[in-house]
Amino acid sequence: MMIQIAEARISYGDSPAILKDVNLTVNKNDWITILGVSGTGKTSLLNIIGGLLRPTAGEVEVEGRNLQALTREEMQEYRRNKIGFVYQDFKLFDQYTVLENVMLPQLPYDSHKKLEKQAIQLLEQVGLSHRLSHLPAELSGGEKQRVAIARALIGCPEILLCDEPTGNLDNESTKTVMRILQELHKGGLTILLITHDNSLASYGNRIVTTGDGTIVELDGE
Amino acid sequence: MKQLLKGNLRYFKRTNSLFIAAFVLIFSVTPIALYSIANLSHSIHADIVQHSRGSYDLLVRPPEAITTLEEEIGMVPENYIGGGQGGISLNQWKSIKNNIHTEIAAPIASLGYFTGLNTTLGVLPSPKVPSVYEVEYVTSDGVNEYTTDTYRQIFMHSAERGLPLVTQVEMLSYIHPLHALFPLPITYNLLVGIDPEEEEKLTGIDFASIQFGKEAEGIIRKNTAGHEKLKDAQIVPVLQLRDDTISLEAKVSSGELAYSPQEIQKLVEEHGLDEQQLIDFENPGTRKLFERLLRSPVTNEFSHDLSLLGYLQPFNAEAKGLVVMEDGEVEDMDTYSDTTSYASSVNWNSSTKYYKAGPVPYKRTSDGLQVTQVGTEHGVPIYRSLEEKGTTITSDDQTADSLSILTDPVGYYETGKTKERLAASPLGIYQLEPVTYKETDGVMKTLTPTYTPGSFVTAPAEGVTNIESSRLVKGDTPIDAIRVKVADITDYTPSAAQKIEDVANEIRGMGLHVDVIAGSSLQTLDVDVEGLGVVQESWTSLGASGKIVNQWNATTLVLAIMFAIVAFLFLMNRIRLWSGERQQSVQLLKLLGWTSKDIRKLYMKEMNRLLMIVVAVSSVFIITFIYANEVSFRLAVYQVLIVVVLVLLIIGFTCGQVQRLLHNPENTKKGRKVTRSRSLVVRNILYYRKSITATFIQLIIVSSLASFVYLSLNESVMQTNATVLGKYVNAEIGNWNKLLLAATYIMAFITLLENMSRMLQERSQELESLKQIGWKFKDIQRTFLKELSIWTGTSVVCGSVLSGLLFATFYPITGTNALFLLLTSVALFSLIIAQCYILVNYRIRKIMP
Repeated sequence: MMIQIAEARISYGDSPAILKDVNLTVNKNDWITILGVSGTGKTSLLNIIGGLLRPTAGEVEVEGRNLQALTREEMQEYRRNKIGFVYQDFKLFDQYTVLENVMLPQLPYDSHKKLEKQAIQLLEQVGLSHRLSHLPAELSGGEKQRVAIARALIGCPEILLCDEPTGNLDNESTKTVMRILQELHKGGLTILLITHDNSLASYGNRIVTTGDGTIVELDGE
Repeated sequence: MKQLLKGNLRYFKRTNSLFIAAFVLIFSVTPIALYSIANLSHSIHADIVQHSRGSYDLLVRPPEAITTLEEEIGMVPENYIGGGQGGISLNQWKSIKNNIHTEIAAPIASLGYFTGLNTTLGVLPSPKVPSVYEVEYVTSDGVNEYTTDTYRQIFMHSAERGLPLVTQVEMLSYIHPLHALFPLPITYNLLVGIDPEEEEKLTGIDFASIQFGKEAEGIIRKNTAGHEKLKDAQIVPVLQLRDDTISLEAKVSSGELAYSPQEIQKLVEEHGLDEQQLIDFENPGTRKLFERLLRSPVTNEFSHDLSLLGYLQPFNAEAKGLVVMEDGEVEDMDTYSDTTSYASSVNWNSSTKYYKAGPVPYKRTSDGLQVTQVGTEHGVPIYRSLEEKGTTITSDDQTADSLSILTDPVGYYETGKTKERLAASPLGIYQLEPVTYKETDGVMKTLTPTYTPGSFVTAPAEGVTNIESSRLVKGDTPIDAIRVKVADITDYTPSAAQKIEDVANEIRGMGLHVDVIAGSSLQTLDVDVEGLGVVQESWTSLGASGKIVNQWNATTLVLAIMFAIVAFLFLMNRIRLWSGERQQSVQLLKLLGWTSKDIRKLYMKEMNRLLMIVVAVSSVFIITFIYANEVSFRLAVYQVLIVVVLVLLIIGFTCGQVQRLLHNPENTKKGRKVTRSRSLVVRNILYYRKSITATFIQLIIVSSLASFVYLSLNESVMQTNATVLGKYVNAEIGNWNKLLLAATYIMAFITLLENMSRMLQERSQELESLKQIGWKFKDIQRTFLKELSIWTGTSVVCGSVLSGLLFATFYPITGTNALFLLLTSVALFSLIIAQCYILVNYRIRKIMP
């Protein structure tokens, strides 16, 4: 058991809870596709796993560690080393090169040389070894997302949280990104992926839908 | 539209409140600043008009009298009068006097050092048995003492048996068989030629008794008529300065010889001397006996160290003799001699001998002014060249004209007490500023002129005579200077200054040198005098009021420019922030199909509402300020003017900003270029340079002004404080400039704070991303602070260098100034970093609670 969410509740201020009594167990090397209409708490669900949001009630455990019990420092370390984030809008730093963007998460914490070697390997893995010194502005949307994936992997995370990674991409780029994610999954990575595209659900082994404040797991078929 | 307006005002409640607060500040501070500047100028102008005209306006001198030093430093030494060589004729003076624009033309001719009547110092008790008497005279310059004359006499017998034994020619007129009498020292005093009528107009002092042709008769004129040797001598009437005393001390001692009269008689015989030889002071035997008796043991000794300061006056017109009583008290001889046979002899033997003195030879060195000793006179150091003129009446060296001048003290004149003067009148001759000396323990001593000629310290005119008599001493061009007061002006206004300048030019046309004294003031200079040390002497700084006005005009201009720059940046910044907040709304309204005119109308209305609140609140503030500080209602008038100007300016700026948003919406990312630099921090700075530039420039301006304005204010005060007038003006200015400076700093600081805050807000997305990828709080903080410190540091350094260059252009750079510049930069940088630290922490805490 990799992640255990028990009776989690998420609400913002006085508004009705966006998620209530959520229970979810994620096993190692699971690929869970999260489907649901806007505003049903998909991103909130990823954020409580990623430690960006604390549930109003309930508990979230990752590899047996209660996330609520972590200090700020421990939480930052957890995010840096256990989790990789991939967003729809890439969240790349326009002023840095592709290589620097990939190195960035670990830059203050590891040797420059080692990181550079690691980042080059990751960029080779996502097929961007020829774009090392390019700036994000010089890349296509698909390429940007591949840089974002490489950046998410620099800390060698065990869990990859993807919030609509293909939302801004064309079909071709979507396929490329999904193929990369597939390979990473084969390599043992646990993936939680939010999408509006039902066709992408076939890449995962489990499907979860959100709505009415709850989550429901669908059968594999 | 009304509803939308309300919605806008409600939605931007927080930022609108900040906007109102900021604009209330500028609407209140600007009129106060303007009022301060006006007050500053008014205060300086009023002080100058009221106080910068002295007792006369122009100092006219022959061109050859002007030293290189005077030309170099633009100052006139106050003791110039001590060495006048003449150069202006009586005809030239009369021509200036008769000019219709001349109210007073008072000539002055320094004649040299003269003496008056020499009288007696009696020492009691009178000898009863053979005794030795000694009197030693000491003069002082305030720091050192110098023994000038020592007189001795030996009474060999008991009473009624002959004259005492002496060996000095000066003693011959004073020997008496019964009493120990000595000559008082011959003192030399500065004699100055004046025109009694013009001088009276200038000073209000009555000099009628020396009026040419109507001179009063003194002791000498009365007693020398028919004197064979003096039949061709010109008698110069002298009025002496009352209450001016001579620096004189006497050390009086006596002892009874351990010989009986018989034993002394035996000694006389042993020396082979008869009675006639005993009174021959040059006889070798007499001198030998005198020395022998002087070395003999004495009993019943007494001695007194007496200060005769206050007893003896220059020229001694009253022929006053002094007596040292048995208890050491000093009494006038007239008082004492009323009841005894005691009498003072009055001697004018030296009245025909005088000294012409040159000016004090000031030298300018890298350390300041220096004066070297040129020799000694009677054992006293002298600091100017002396030329002995004439001879004593009894001298053997007489020539045809050596007895041509004879001073005749005829009375006294009085000047009253010396007053602190804001405006200087060099060659005032009656009231000189004291020359002071600071001892190692910090005690200030006032230097005094010695009674010998050639002293460094110039005494005031201790005696005056008429200008016609000056011709007898100095020839056809005896006048050293003419003090001119221009007619028909009262205060020192610009038109008065112009008139004074016109008259000056007219006199310059006569080939004479003219200094405009109106508007000058006294300034203390350090002078290193050989044998004395560093003394403080008053010099007249010509054109001091002009310098003060110019200095303060420049400083006020700098203050005003600085305030205008900072206020303008403050205003622009505020409007930029205001329009930035509305950027999205403007774009949306445009997308919804609103016309540009309607969009503009909506936002201009919003701005007008805000301005109405600002004007109302700031008016209340100003009125309260007026009542609380009892300030003139002129401030309210300034506020009305400022409100009109600022409202127009703000409406114009706002219109421009809305127009810009409509046609060229601000895109913060547009125009950003990535510069390939190895350092990520430098890359960040260059990438965000568009956001940074405004703050960067502002910081340069603030940091350059922060030190420059303070330094120039300080320098202005220091430079103008050099003169008495400047000190007064600076004291009157008070705190107006500081108020202005404080207001400017506050505005500059708020602008910086707002800009920094906005810049960090723009980068909140970046902060969020760093958080998401797992950066620690302190690493985000460190990266941002590093980045901020690099470019803020660079701008502070640029500002400080600019400040240094600006300052060096106008003022001399000293070690203190350079240190202040450095410290200000460090302090400002620390303040900025502290501000950045707070802002960065605040921003990070917002995303990482």
